[in-house]
Formats: sequence, C-alpha cells, structure tokens
Amino acid sequence: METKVYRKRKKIRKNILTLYAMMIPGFIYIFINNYMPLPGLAIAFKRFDYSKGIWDSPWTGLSNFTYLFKSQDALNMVRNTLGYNLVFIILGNVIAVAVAVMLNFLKGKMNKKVYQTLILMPYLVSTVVVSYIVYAFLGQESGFLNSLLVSMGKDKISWYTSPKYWPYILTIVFIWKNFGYSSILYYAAVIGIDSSLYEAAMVDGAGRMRQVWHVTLPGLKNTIITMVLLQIGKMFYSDFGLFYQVPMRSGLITSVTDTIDVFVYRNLSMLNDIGRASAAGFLQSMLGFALILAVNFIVRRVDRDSALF
Amino acid sequence: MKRTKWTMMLAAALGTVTLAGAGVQAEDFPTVKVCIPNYDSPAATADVEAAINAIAGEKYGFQMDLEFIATGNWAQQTNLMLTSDEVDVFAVFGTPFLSFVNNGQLLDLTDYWANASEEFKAEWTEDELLALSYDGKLYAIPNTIGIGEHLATMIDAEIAAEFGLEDEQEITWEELDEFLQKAHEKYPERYGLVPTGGTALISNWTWDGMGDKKYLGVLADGGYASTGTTVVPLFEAEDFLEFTGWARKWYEDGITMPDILSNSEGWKSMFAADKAIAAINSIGVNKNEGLISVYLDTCYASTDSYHSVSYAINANSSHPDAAWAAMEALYTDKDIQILLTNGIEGQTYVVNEDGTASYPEGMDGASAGYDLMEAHWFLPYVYNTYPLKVNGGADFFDKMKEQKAAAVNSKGLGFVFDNTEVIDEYTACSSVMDKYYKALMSGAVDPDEIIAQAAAELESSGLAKIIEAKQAQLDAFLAEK
Repeated sequence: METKVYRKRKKIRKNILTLYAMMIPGFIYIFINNYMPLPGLAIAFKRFDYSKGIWDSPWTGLSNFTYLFKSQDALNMVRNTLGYNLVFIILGNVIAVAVAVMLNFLKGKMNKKVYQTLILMPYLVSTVVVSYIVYAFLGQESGFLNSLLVSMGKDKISWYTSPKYWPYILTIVFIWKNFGYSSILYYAAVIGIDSSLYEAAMVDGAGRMRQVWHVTLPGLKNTIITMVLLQIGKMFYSDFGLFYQVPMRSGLITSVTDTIDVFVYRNLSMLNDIGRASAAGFLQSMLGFALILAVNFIVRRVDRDSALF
Repeated sequence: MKRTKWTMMLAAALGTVTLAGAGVQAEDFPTVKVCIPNYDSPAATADVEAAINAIAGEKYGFQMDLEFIATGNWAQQTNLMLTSDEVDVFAVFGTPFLSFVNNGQLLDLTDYWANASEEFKAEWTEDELLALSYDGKLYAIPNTIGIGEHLATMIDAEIAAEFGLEDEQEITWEELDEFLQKAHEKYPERYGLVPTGGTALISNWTWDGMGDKKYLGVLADGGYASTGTTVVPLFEAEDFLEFTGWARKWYEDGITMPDILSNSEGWKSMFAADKAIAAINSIGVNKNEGLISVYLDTCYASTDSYHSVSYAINANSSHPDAAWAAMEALYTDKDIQILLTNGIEGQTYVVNEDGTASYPEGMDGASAGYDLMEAHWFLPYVYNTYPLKVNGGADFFDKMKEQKAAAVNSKGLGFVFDNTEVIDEYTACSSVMDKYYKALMSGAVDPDEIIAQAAAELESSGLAKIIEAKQAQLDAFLAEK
C-alpha cells in the first residue's frame, strides 16, 4: 500500500519537474529580455555621459521630461497617439469581429482557406512597400486619385501637403493592413464555439442575425476583452512604420501624423540625447501600465471572470 | 580503449590549435581601430589594412584595424562603439558636432595638438580649429573636404550646349530662369529641375547657421547682408527669401518635378536616364560625367563647412596615445594616405601617364573592391593622393587648395552655438523647422502663406529666446577675436 502511494507521488513529482524544466528556457529569455534591462530606466533621469557610463552619469531629476510638454507639437503628438489608437482599437476590433463572423458563414473549405490567405496578406507586407503603394494612389504626377480627379474635370489635390486628409488615410491603411490578422484570431475563437448552441438557437426560431447576436458574440466575449485590454495597454505606443514611412516624411503634415515614437526618433537622431529619448519611453510604459490597471479594474467590477488578472 | 584513443587525439588537436593561435596573437604594437564612413563596405579593405600596417608598425608604433561603415548605419553603430573602447579614431559625421561634445564622446585633443609636428599644425588656421572647439578645448581635426565651393546649377551637357551655356560660366538668377523656361519648353518630357537635397532643391544656400543645422537664427548671406552680424530668424533672412521665391516660381511654372516632396531617386540616376535638365548643387573643382555647371553664388567658409566631416578620438579609448599617433599618420604620411584613398596599386587602381588614377581596365569601384577615390571627402587627408581621371587632371587637389584659400570666410566662422541653455525651446523650434524647411526649399508650397504660418509657430515655441542666446554668444565670440 505504502509503496504504491510512494511510487505514484514520485511519478507526479517527476511530471511536475519535467513541466518546470520545459518552462526554464522561456523563463530565462523573459528574464534576460524584460527584467534585466529594468534598472536601465534610471537613464531617463540622468544626463548620459559616454565617458562615464550609465551609473556614473549625473542625475538630472525630471528635466529630461520637460521637452515633451513644452511645445504645441509635443501636445499634438500625444493627442495623435491617443486619438489614432482609440480609433484603431474601436474600428479595428469591430471590423475584425465582423469579418470573422462572415468567415464562419462561408460554405466550402477551399473558400475559407482562400479568403483567410487573402486577408492575411496585407499584414505580411512591409510598411515601406505599403508607403509606395499609397504613393501610387496619392502621387502628384501620376497618382491614381489625382488622375481620377483630372479626368472628372477637377483640380489635383496635393495630398502630401494637406493635413486634413491624413487621419482618414492613415486609418484606412492601418485597417487594411491589420484586419486580416485580428480576424483570423477571432475566427479561431469563433470555430471553438459549441455547435450545439447554434442548433438550440435554430430550434428556438432564431434567424442568422439573432444567432450571431445571442450565440457567437457572447462566445467571443472573453477573447474580445483580452484583445482590447492588451491593445489598451499599448495605447501610448504606435506602429512606427505606419506613421513615419507612409506620410513619406513630409514635414507639413506632421501635426496630424506624428506620434510619440516618431517625434522621439526625430529628436534622438537630431540631438543624440539618450536621456531624453529614454524619458519618452519611460512615460509611454508607465502610462500604458497605469491604463491597463485602471481598465482591468473596471472590467473586474463589471464581470469578474472576464478580467485579465 | 577506443574511447581513450579518440579523447587523446581530440586533446592533441585542441592543444595545437590553441598554441597556433597564441603564436599569431603575439603583438608588439597596440591596435588602433579606425572607423570611416562610406557608401558601403569595400571588399578590399583587408588588403589595404595589411599594407598600411606594414608601414605603420615600424614607423609609428601602432597597428590599424580599419573599418568602413555605410552611412545608413553610421550613427547607430558608432554610438554603440562609443559606449565602450571599441573604436579609437572615428569621423565626427552625421550627428551635430556639439551633441558629441555634450555627450562626452570626444577626447580632449588640446595637449596632443600643442605637441603635434609643425607639418601637421601648418595645415589648419586658428579659425578652422575654433569651429571644432568648445569651451577652449579642441575636440576634432578638420578634413580635406572642399571648402568655398560654388553654388551652381548642373545642366545636362548637350542641352546646355544647345542654349550656349558653358562650363564654369557665371550666371544670374534671371538668366537661369530664362534658360530653364526655354529648355523645359523644348523638352517637356524631362524634369526641368530635380532635387539634390533629397526632397529639397538643395540642402542650404548662403545663410550661416554657425553650427546649428536647423538654422534657428542665422547670419544672412554669411554676415555680408544688410543685417551684418545680427542674428536673424531664417524666415527674415534676405537670401532665404530670394531663394524660396525662385524655388516657388519654378515649381508653379511646372519646371520643378511635381512630386519633389516624395522623391527618393538620386539626381545622378535621373541625369543618367535622361529624365532631368538641371539641378542646383554645390560644386567644387570636381566634374561630373555628362554635366556642366554654371555658377550662381559662392559658399562661404563657415563653421557648418567644417562640421560635415572631421576626425576625433573616442573619449573611452584605451590607448589614446597610439590613437593620436594614428591620427598624425593619417594626416601626414603620404604612403598611408595613398593606400587609404586609392588602395593597392595594380589591384584597385592604376596610375595614368598624366598623374591621375583610374580603376584597372574594365573595372569599376565595385569590381575593383575599393572605391574611396570617388568619395574622398570622407577621408582625413587626401591632398597627396592620385585624383580620379574624370576630375580633370593631376592638379585637381591643388585646385581644391586654391579654391579653399580663395574662399570668403563667413563672419561667423569659428563660432559654435551652444544650445544647452535653451534646449527645450531648441527642440520645440527644431520640430517646427523640420515641418517647413524642406517644403519651402523645394518650392512645392507658397512661401508667403507658409512662412507666415511657420514664423508664428516658431515664435510661440520660443525662437526669440534662442536668437537672444545666440546673439549674446556670438557677440562675446567676436569681441574676443
């Protein structure tokens, strides 16, 4: 009796140990990549001197942060970052869920595969290439849109020097590039929904739209909340390629196309000031962290199970 | 038994390799790492390095580790190397000179310079060295980049001949306008003007920023305009208003390429493909294939001219004495200079009868494996080397020296603006400048409207404070001279 229990406990312990062992490489990676650099946050509060290194460089308190708030441009770029991200999160997720639901309704295995591949392709294209595709539409000389305008008898529009169009242009480009990836994620969740629920709904007399509303969306609820929460955590970050490359670095539209990352990149490459660039990154992470805590707290209040932690 | 045999053989092999390695590593001289920017990394660098080391060891007491870094990666890689002692001698290039000083990346060269050879010291005047000094300390040595170049218009040679324009002819803005209108009418399928400053017609003209590449407060016309040595906002400088006026006219008349603001093609390839008629550029005594140049104005010798490329020593270098010895060698030793610029005779270049150099028969820069003769402005000192044949003759570098001697100095030469006091305003105003400067220099926007807008934004970002600081520093500098 005792030996049997002992052997079973030993087997369980061995299994657990094996599992822990499998975790070690990932854990080491995260430790080296995410935890070890944490003391470097101190650079945001120092005047980095190359001849003294990180730890001996002089402290400067909060003076590395002031440039982010001093000018109208700086406030613009915070507004741009938050504004674009809000639109991307809302619009992006609505479209992704809609497309995932539509994919689910498609009949035919070949069909599904073909469409999945097609919608994923823009995601794989590099932003530099995308910027040239956009240029093919918006170019002065031979751009598609300008040629269309001319053929309709109207004047050409100088897209790259007019700020008012760019919120729309960047949103369209972002959605086009990213909806495929998100919808496939949602699609994976959709196909995980128990099909007997649909049958029960049909028996109750629900048409297609009602099935979606009452079965699919509730089934997706947890996935959507997780995705949105993660995206909110990155609210202060932006896709550098999108905001730097697609406007073709035209200076006149930066009041609507500059985000924190692009602004900091420009300033760092001009001034080569590591302390101030770190200060911007520090702010981004801290604010993102605070946001995630706040939103998670709210979600936990509403529905305990849906919260991240 | 078998296992022991294998283990012994492995141990023996390892032992031999280690010993061999140890033998090779016995070095008498410190290794000085030299990093130079170039358009890419030439294949024959190792050969050139070996040839230089054959001289450098006995004569100067150091061995060189030569590395060329592509300009695209330059800032990133050098910044990494400067955090440790990985590089010793390097070019101050790309990022502004003062930011290197303020970051503590450059070694103080004042004492080394004071004890340098007379030959070395004779090359540079005090003003030139002042442009690369800060707070009384010398931080970098200038190189032999062309100073006092002409602000010119390069024109396709055939078209120029049709309209009777000759190489090195002096021309006024009005005459240039007339020519461009007529030429563009005759060749409407070509762009009348293409940019040489990326997306701007040209990067800068005759205004002197005095070490400030964002031109927040300049000496109009090198200090020779009616405003003299008063620092004025760029948007009030007479020469700036003149240039942007012409740029706008040519854009509106359809002469400038319409998509100039999104341009990414180089002017050389556009001329080669017969897509361009003219381009505005600064021209030294060098010539370009298939193009002639007509002169509009002259570049002043200003602090900015010396801030393009200069050479310095890493503050973290582990053997600064050897590094300085390497610097002196690079600047004074003719054999090393020829090796560094032209390469290996017979392998990467041949000397022609007239004293110029060319690539070996049937080769070009890429196939010969070493193309620095085409980009000599990246190197420290090239006056003693063989010039490329296309540039006109063996006296090419003599002509460069003459041009430099004849250059008119900007009144602000030697003055470097220190922006640490007004850094926040400077950052804010720089972003505004980034928005408008290139667009105005391309002619794609209306100057009247945009300049007013930009000036208002600059004012609210604190430009007045910057100009006040600059003027005060400049006055102090001029008083001391």
